[in-house]
Amino acid sequence: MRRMTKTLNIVRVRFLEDFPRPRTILVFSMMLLYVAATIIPVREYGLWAKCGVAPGVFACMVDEQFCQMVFAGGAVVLFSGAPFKNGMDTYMLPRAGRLSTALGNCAYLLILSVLYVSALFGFVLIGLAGALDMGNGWGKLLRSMGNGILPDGFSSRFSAVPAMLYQFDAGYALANALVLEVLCVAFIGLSVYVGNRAFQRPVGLWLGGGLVMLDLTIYNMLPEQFYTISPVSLPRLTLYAGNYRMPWNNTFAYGYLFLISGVILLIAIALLEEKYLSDGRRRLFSRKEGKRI
Amino acid sequence: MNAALKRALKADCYLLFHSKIYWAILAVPVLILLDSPYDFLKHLEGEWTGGSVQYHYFHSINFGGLFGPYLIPMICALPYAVSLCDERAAAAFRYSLARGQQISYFLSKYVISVLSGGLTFMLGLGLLFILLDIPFPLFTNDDLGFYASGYFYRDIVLNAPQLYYVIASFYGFLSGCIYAGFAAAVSTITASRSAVVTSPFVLTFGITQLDVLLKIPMRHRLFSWLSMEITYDGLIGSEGMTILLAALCTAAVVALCGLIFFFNGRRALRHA
Repeated sequence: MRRMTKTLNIVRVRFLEDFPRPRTILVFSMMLLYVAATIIPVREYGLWAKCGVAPGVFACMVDEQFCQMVFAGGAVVLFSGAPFKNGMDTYMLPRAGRLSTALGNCAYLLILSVLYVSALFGFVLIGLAGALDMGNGWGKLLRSMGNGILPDGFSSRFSAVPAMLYQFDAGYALANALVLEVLCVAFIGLSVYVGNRAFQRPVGLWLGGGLVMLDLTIYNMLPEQFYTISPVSLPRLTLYAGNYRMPWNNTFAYGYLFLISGVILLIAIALLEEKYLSDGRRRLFSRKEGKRI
Repeated sequence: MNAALKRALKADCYLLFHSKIYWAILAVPVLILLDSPYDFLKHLEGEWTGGSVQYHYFHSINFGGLFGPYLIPMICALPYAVSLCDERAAAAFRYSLARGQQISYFLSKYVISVLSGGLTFMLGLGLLFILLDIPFPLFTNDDLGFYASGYFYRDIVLNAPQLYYVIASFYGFLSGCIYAGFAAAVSTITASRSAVVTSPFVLTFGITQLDVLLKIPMRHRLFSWLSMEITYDGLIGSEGMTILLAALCTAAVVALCGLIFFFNGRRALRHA
């Protein structure tokens, strides 16, 4: 109970200290700009054709390689401040303890991931204001886009892949895309945190950047099997619907298992690192003897 | 030029040539080739035909590349635009200033930052063109047919193909100046090195989104002139007019960033 209180206090401190930084505002405003620039042509098409756009459009955006890369890139910048060291650590660490601090940091990263993906989805809904159709499955417009029925001069940054539209129900696809995206963002955040913390250098930042670029690298030059180990690719539902077969009969279960076990593993490494340090032993991955904060 | 400015320039040049500029210049061709690595290898092995200098430049800078258009801006900020952050972190800010005048200090730092960014991009592009010119031609017959069918830069490509690459390098210089100037201006606002290095990326990303949102035509966008967007009407008037306007707009943007650098830098100095 005591540890829980300390952990929650660390989360509160992070929200007061780290969340209102210019970096967070910058990431959210850039994502708002990007989502608006991406969704407004679709909204205008919907208004022109007098048919609403379903919220399932978010699943189509996540499915598009470049959109997904931008969302994941935003997450890397958002979490680039990890492990959130500041002048207060000198006073906070002896009171909270290393384990509670690490737990608090991980909890903060997980909550921030949920907030980030919710904000992205919120931006999509705001961008569709006036053309949103809540109760029509994928909707006429996305099906038209999937079938390539588009007006002259219309260009969209994402496409609606027919295989995905026909294989999955819109609500089911949207729910899975949202949850997988949250897990993917959390995975990236924790990789940045663990890398930066364990090596005392911006190794995590490079690792996060590498994970973001992995999807494109696979598309450009690696065999498709590599999609199964790319966390940024796993929320892309086409991978579970097209010709390419994901493990476990092409179900989402593999994506969930990979991302959830990855998140748990990264949290475990973060805690183990702190345990080692509190026991007076050397760091897990770095031999560098720095200030032991 | 007064003695204080000369001294400051000399010191900044010394620091520049002992910085990461050589690595940054090498990174430019690598990033451009990373946009079409598979094609590059196939062309090199001779399995595919159609490889040319134009092919790889076009597919990165002009036609949906990612590494080139988005990472090179950050590379341009690396050699010297972060120097103010470093000096602030090392508390060398006041000592450097104590030896000279404020104007000389900021002017020299800004000029060297801007030039280093421009040169990084320009020399990197030059290196890419020279290296690619060894195994590949400048333009294939298909490329020439593409330009001959009425696309922009037609006369230059058909009559003096080398000039096309000189112009591309010049545009690279202008783009590099904007990226490094912007990063230098940001370095007076924040002391975070990573924030300064990423700022040119944020600039290009933000401006692209704003252009799309505000529906600004391609022919009125500075960055589409600078990347020689031939496929989307990236010219305003003739080729010469575009070059002139791009140079003037770049000068205006760099001057604006310079003013921000000077006034914000002085404020940062007062708080130091």
